[in-house]
Parts: sequence; C-alpha cells; structure tokens
Amino acid sequence: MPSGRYAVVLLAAIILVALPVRAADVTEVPEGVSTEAVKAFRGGLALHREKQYVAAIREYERAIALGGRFPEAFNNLAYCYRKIGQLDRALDLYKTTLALRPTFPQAHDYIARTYLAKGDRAMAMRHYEIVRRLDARLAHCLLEAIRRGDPDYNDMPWGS
Amino acid sequence: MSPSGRAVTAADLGLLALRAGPAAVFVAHGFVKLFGGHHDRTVALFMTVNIPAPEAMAWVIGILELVGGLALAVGLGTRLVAALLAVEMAVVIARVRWPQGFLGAAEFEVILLLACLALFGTGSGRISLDAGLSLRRNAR
Repeated sequence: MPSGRYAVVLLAAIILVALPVRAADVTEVPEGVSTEAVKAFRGGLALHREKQYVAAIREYERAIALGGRFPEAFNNLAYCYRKIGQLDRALDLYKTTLALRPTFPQAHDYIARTYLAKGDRAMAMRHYEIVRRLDARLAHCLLEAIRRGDPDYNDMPWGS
Repeated sequence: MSPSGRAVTAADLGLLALRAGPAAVFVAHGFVKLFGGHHDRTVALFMTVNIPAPEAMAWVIGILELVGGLALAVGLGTRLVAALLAVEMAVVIARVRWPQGFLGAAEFEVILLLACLALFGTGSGRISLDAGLSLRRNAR
C-alpha cells in the first residue's frame, strides 16, 4: 500500500477523533429529576440546615418518592438518620447513594463517620482512602475525626 | 479507493462510522484518565466498586481506552481492541452502571458494548490500516 494512503487514513482518523473530543463534556449531571422532587429536596435541605432532622427526613423521602433515583436526597436522608441515631438505616442509605454515584466524596465521608460511630475504624479508614482520592480537604477533616474517634468532628451537612 | 487499493463500499463507510463513535469516546475518556487529572477519581471509583488492584487497574484502563480508541480510529488490530473494550464495558455495566438504571445511566455503556461487539464480529472494513496491512501481506 502506498504510504500516502496510510497518511490519508491517519489524517481522516485524527479529524474524526479530534472533533468529538474537543466537544466532549465530562461533567456528570443528574438526569430525570422532576421539579417537584427538587422542590421537596430543597425543603428538606432548609429543615436539615436548621437541624430539624425528623422533618427533613419526611421531605427527603418525599423527594425520593417523586424523583426516583436521586443520590443527593439519599445522601442527605442518610445524614439525618445518622443524626437521630439510626445508624444502620443511615448505612443502608449511604450504600444506596454510593451505588448511584460511586465517586460522591461527601457520601464516602459520611459513611466513614457512620462506621466510626459504630466502632468500625477499619471500614472508616477504607472510605477515608477513597475520600483522599476525591477531595483532599474533606479527607483532612475526616482523618482528624478518625484520629479523635469523634464522628461529629468537622461534620458539615452536604450543600451547606 | 481504500488504503487496500480496492473500491470502497457503503458497508466500508458504515464500518468507518461505527469505529469513529466509540473511538472518539474512548480516546476522550482515556485522555482524561491519564492526563486530565481523573486518575485519582478513577482509582476512587475502582475502590468503591471493589475492582482488584485499583491503582494499577486505573492506569491499565486509561491506556486501554486511549491506545484502543486510537487503534479503532485508524482501524489497527480492530478485532482484538474491540474485544478488550467490550470486556471493559461489560464490567462497567455490571459493577457500576446497572445499579443506576438504564435511562441516563447504563444506556451509553450498552451502546458502546454493542458497537465493540459488532466491530469484533465484522472487523474494520476496507478503510483501515488492517485492510492495507492485509493486502501487503497477501502481495508477498
């Protein structure tokens, strides 16, 4: 085969690849969330920030019922359950959150704190290692919480 | 005329288009995994879904996607590359995407998996380096 034809194939391939690569959007955007679900989620978040955890749980559960698969709502719902002491329920909800969005740094931070509250330091450290890859500042705070054995140290609600 | 010196058919153009889509996607994702600051994120993902040796696997997958995507684009080693990328997509669907649902989640990887399986079955067509190299071997 003449080398000129290889060059034509190569050039065509570069153009075919370069155009979509230039336009590629690597940002993850949640899809399929209804307006009602977002409203309920925001209602939950407002109550959550005022530390009205039981009322926030109702709103987050409504958001989930309206919006289907909504990792932020699962994450915050888990946070509220953790704050009212229902650690096993919180763990299940964090696992659901991470199944929906495995690279959600705050969910890894919170599940580590939940394991710490349950006395499982090994699992807390496992999730710390993941947080360290995703968010260095968050990891620093989490490590300090693990060192102190205090799951509430520097524990900020997501979105605050 | 194709690089193999034979007339290009509509099927060859179709196969070129079939290669171009996955090639662009894999090159883009491989590039950001290797050079775009997504390595740690990939390792974190692999740790979360319990992929063995997550650090090493993140490099392997980044290289596979970048080099494999370029190979698909030029049509070099198409069947082998398509098979490897199909295996990767099958693992992604099973371990990451399936729990997230189909619409807005697994649908994209399913399309990539099927495109790779199709290329594994058909090869790259005449507009490819595979075709040119094959003709050269046959001429000797």
